Amino acid sequence: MPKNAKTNRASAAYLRDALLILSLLLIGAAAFLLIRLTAKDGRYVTVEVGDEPPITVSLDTPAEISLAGGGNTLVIENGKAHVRDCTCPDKLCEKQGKISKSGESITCLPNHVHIRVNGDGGVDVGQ
Amino acid sequence: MKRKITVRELTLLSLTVAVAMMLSFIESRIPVFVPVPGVKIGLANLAALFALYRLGFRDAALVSAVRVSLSALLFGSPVSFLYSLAGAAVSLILMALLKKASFFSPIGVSVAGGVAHNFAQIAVAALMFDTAALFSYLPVLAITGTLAGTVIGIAGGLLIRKVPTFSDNEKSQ
Repeated sequence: MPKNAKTNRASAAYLRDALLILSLLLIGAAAFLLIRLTAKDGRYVTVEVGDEPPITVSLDTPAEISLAGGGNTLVIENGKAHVRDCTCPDKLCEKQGKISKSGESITCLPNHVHIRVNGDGGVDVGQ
Repeated sequence: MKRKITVRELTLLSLTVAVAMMLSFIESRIPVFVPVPGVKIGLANLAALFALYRLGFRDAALVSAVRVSLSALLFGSPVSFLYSLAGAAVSLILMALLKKASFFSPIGVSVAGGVAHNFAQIAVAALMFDTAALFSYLPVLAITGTLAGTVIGIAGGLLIRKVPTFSDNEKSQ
């Protein structure tokens, strides 16, 4: 194969790489903004620990709830929920901060804890 | 189809596994600053990418399988094993298909593999938690996965070109 034909093919591949990278970044950013902008304030959080049935906690009343056998503590204050005192190594669930918008969630993979904000009503208990 | 494995191939294979293990270990020591589960650099993907291009799909699958099992044993848990296995398998299969199509350079292949890895892990987590809410992490993971995949792809592309071929019967494609 002549050398510049090979170079052309290689640069065409790099161009397609760049297009792939750009489109993934754009789609990611657009989807992120869409989710953020359309979120409404939630009134309840649904907490799932492992295979146990989910429990629903109101965001209106301050509370501290121990989860996963003391692995995490769920704190509700000022209408927001966050996690502290996690036993997991990376503390990602604590770094996920406070959540209050419908659809936002905190996940702690090591302890199998998933906390999600719901729009209204505690109707989905044990769903 | 049975093939004879030469000592050189075996050595290269073992070295690749050893490097992959080291990369996994280094990765496990790097703190993550983005508060989304699944965000990572994917250093071990460097070894998978190299193995895929230089040793072929079968050997790359072997390297990844050994790497995932050993790292779960050494610095993981049964849960992390499931996540890693799903991520590594989906990402390697997609990368092999894309490489075969020769539509992208190793950079594009690595980007697709990185994002696929993240998506597969979220899919496994969504199955385990039985909730679709986790998919709201996908946009962030698409961005971080793309950036990480680009870096790994550039490094991998260099490795694939620069690491000397020291065997006359090594499979080049």
